[in-house]
Amino acid sequence: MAVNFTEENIRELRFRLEDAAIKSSERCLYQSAKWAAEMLDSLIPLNDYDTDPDSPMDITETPAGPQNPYLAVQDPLEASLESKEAYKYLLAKSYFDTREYDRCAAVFLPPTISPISLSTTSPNPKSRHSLTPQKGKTKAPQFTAGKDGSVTRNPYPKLSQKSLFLALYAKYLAGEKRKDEETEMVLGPADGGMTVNRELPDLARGLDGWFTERDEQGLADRGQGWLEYLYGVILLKGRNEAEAKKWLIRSVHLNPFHWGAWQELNDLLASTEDLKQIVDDLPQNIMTLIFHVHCSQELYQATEDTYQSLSELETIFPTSAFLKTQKALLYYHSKDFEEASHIFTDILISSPHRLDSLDHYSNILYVMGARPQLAFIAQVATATDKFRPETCCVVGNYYSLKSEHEKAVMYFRRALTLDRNFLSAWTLMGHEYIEMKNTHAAIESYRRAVDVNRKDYRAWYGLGQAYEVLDMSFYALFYYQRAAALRPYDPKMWQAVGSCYAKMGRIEQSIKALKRALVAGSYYAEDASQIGGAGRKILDPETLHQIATLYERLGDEEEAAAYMELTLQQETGHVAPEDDYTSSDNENDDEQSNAGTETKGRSRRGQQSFGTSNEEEEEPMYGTGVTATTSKARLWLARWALRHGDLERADQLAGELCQDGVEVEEAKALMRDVRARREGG
Amino acid sequence: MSRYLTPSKVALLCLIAIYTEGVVSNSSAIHVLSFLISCLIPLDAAESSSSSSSKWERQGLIDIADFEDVLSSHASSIPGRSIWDLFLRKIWSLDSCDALEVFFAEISSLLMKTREEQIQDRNNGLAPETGSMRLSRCSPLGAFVRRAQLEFTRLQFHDSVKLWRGFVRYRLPTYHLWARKHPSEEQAAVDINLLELGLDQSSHLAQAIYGNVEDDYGDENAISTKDVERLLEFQVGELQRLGGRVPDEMRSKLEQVLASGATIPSLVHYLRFLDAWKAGDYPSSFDNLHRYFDYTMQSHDRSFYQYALLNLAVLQSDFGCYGEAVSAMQEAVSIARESHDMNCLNFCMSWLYHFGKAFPEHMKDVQNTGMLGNEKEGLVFLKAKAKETEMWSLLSTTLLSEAKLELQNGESLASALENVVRASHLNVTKGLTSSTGPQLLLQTALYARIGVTHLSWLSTEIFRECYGSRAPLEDYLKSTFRNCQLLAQKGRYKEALARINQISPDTLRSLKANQHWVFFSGFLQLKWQINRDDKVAAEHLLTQLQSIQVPDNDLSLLLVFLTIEYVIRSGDYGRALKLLEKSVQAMQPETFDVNSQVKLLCLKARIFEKSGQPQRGFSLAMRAANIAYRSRLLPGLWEAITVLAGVLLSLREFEATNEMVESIMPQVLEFEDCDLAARAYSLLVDANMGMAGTLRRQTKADSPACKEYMTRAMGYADCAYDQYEQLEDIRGQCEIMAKKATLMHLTADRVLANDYAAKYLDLRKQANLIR
Repeated sequence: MAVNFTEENIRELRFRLEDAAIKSSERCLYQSAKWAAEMLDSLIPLNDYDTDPDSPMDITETPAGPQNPYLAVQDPLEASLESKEAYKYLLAKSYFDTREYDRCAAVFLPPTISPISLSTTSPNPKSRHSLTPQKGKTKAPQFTAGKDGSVTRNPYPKLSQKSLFLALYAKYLAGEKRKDEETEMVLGPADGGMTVNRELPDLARGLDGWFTERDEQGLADRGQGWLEYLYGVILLKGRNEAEAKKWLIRSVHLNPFHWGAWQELNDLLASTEDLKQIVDDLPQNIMTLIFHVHCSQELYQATEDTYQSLSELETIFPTSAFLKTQKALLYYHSKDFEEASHIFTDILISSPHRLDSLDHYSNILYVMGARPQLAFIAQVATATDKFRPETCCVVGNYYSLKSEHEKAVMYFRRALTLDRNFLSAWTLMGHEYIEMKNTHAAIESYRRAVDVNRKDYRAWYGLGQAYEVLDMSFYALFYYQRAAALRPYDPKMWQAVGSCYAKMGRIEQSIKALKRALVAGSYYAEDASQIGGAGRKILDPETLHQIATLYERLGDEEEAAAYMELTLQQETGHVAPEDDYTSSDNENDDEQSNAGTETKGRSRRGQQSFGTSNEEEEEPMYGTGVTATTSKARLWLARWALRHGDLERADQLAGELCQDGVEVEEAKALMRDVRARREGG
Repeated sequence: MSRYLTPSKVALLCLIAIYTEGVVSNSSAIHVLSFLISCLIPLDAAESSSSSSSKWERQGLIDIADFEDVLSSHASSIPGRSIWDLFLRKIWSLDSCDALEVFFAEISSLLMKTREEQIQDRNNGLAPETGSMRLSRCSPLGAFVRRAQLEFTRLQFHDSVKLWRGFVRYRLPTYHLWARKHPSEEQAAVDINLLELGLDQSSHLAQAIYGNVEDDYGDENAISTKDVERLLEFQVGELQRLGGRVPDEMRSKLEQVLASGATIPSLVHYLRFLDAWKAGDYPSSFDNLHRYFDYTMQSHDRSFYQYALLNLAVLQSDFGCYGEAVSAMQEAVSIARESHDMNCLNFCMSWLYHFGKAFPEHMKDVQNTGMLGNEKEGLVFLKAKAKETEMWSLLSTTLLSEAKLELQNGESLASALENVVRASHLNVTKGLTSSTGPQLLLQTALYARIGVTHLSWLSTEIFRECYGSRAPLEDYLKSTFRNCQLLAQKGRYKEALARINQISPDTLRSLKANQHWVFFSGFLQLKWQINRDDKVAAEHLLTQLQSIQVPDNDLSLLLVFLTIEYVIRSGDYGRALKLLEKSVQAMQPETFDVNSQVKLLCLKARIFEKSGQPQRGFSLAMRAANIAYRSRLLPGLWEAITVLAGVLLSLREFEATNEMVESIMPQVLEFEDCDLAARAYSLLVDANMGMAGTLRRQTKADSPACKEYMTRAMGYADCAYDQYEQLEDIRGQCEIMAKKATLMHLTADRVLANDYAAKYLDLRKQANLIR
């Protein structure tokens, strides 16, 4: 997807985005309209007619610019229908804007369109969606797709696509609203995640019929993409993902500048493999590129390619806050918090009222332990709007950092009350419940998070943790594996898997998983070296020691000894450590190893371990120095040497132990033992 | 509006933190502590009244400048630093919202550890701390710290941000001072985070968060709901105690405060009710009273129903709906009985009693139910109840009422005095400043009744000097009026008017008080004008006074007497008699007072005397003297005797007249009533002249005895003239002057006679001039 944009292309892009913004807002797709308008605003200026914006002449000149060729309705049939319905459309739109969705739908749709659904119920009794937990009520089987072969007729009157979309979308939203009302309190008795939008079956059937009819009339390629998008969304809500994907791809082909469709598509992709699969089906244009970047970010693919594409895009949209956010999130995923927070700060300064993605920023600050800044961000967000889910999340994070978990939970709940589908709030609330030792609530929160977005490895990991706390290793293992699948290069995930296996007594698998963790860790070390300058490959002594002890449990002492040696080697990192480093690092390392021994605490939020994670990332370049773990390894080795008669080495190791001042008593006993044997032998 | 925490409270916490750091030197510790305490401890309304205004203002709104005033003069134990410097450092060390949160989180370290914490520490092997100073948990400072922390925990995030913003604004005036003292340290005027981002106050981001910090407008955080509540309670207390209105300045301040906050305590409606009531704004006071009830219903339910009715009844009666008032009060009484609220019940009874005294005609209903029995029984009941429930002020007022009743009925003076003394004892021992006013008033009246004017004067003076500022406005007005009346009696009108005009119009913003004041000053002026014989002015004043319907029997009677006096002076005896008859008929047994009875009798006798049939007044005068004598109503007695003397004169009983009047003369002079004294002297002149005349007729020649009588008459005439002159009573002066001229003529001293006659003409001219 090479991008070398000429001026002509830019101009066209400008027109397309303008068109998208206008049409989206005509259809009340506010978020997409906002996105398109933002992108439009951030587009690089054109030289030819872009005069000084301050000059008063500009106003008179503007009409002289070329007309947007996309604004006019292309299809003559649609155009005539639209002009015929103009007044009704205005009425419907105004109802929509005042949030009277049912009334809006009723402007265009006849009150009952049930006859068709009655005819289709009997031939199609089997439910196709085992994924959706259904309530006990008898319900028409939903979401029949065209290929079922059942004949569905178009239940809608002859309308322009615009009006039909508005009406159906209003109906859909009315259903969503009712659904939200039914769920009542967050995590309350009625909020089990099984309430459904009751409009969905009707809508799905109707749209199916509509599309079949269009197909029969040979009008399939004359769709505008909006209804396809709506159908995709409805199918997606019904967990009919394959079909949804199909329709969404169709939609983005027809109407590539509608960001909402791309976003829905993104939500459908659970892994990089999925992404690779659909890439070929996608149209080749700049939106695909943006989508690709966004997708990669969501899938934690902080690779060179992604950065590359992103910077290309940034040449076209130099001031786009959206792209900047994507970049920051990429840095976040690759654990470059400083850089990420810099970018977010820039965004904040340039547009202080922008709340989008501020919750991610607060996560970054949380991981960095930057409490004053976090408070500041919370203050900014509160000043703009205190009843936005993002704001609530930021404030919740702040309270969480202050260890005021009750208040944090209150704010996360508020965020969820404002928006049930606000993913990060579910996950964060899960974390808080873990802190408050309310494991069951934590599990439910995580589960809801996962239901909203299956790509959230933190939620999966949290589920694993929760079950580990409850001593249900089988469950925990499953979830850890899911997390590890999402973040295959994150050693924490594999460590968790490994320790889980170890608990279950499956030591071979455990060793395998831990070795995986070692590899992953070294991968990140390399990765970091690309960004952060000269680095050294270093293995996590913690993991090494764990592997060694596991081998010991297996009775394979040779291997165990080998890994113990490896652990020891990490002290120096193959380089003679400078004295001041070792001494200054001691404290941190001790903390780390303490944290490390209880994996629960350590892997909170994926990577941070009580604020020391930064150092953790940077230190390996110089070796770890003497830590509790390496000392343990040394002691073990000394004993092992003693057992195997290698008195020299045992003595040397014990001496080192004494020097380091760790386990001195044990070491002295060993030395006495060595001396006794020497004298005796 | 925040619930409790305000920027100034944060500043106080900072000061407490400095204090516990131990850097406050011993010499200034007391000063700092007393400042803190004066800011923290709610002053009792009664205690604070002496210096209320200044102290109270400090309570809610402590400006940063106040801190500077108090702290900058005191050195800390760090050399070269004042406490103010340390305080500045402390408040500026809170450099961001987070710092404030941390400050509050750590503030509990100022406190002594609880027992549990101590045990925990011991279990964890931590030695108990010894070095640092810690506040005891229940000390005033400790309690404040704990309260503040608790309140902060309750705050939601946006509220704590609001507090922070308020604090930023609060301390901003000291920024330059601080920046000058610490030029090396980089300091943000607002938020350290902004500084770190390299932004200044005008940046978009800063504007989004802080808005315009410098402008003073919208300082909604300065006062908390708690402060407002306390302020309102104080205001209500003051209004109820003093019966005035909210001062204009305070009212605008209150409006401003209330406009800034969403949570307005319901007490404000009560305050508005009181204010409107005092202002005489009947509809809005009703409106506000009911609004207050509606808003408090939620929290108090029916428990205050009786008080509501009580308020309603008082309000109704103030606006003249007496029937409604009585029925509301009866309802209040029955509710109070039902709910065993003795305080309320007693208060209701007492009110009913006094109401009955003022408006006996509306009390038929109550009398029929036998709720209070007759007056005596009612008083006995109230006394018993008050003693039972230890309501000392009620007991005191009841005793006074009893004394008053006894005086009115002309019963034993001793027992009346006893009651007054008992009330006085109660007032002193229980510290009841509120009922001292009525007691002194009654004392004034009592001394006046037994003719000891100087003691009466003394009582009003005592009240004015010692209790005036703290007494209810009504008492103060009445007492001042008595005081002025006494002055007017001696002819010191100018002084009296000056005194009554001294009462500032600010205090007279209450409608009732204003009416009273107008009546009093009008009355005094009327009296003066009548004496000066200025008919136009007097007529004018009279109509004005009559149009003021003062709901007080004593006062309306006073006016009636004065009116009759005026009518007599203008020579319309028929009308005077009619007026007199009318007022006699209006007298009711409940409000019957011996004083007025005697006065009326004397007046009637005088009218007869003036209309040339003095003998008809004989029995009247005799009766008056009899009644006055029996009830030890001495001024009345003297008056009756002078009238009687007049009757005797007409019967040519000069000897007896002379003897009688001479015998009462010392007491009359003691009474310090110029009018009475002048009349007595004039009687003496006539009597002496009469005696001289009879002597002459018998002897036909100028005997030395006759001459002596003449000289005496001359002397008395001079005395009478002096008294009239003091009173500025021109008619009296003319009369005496005429008598003097005649006297001189009879003694054949032509020159002097001529002289006096010329003087007489002068006076006439003067009188005409006034006319």
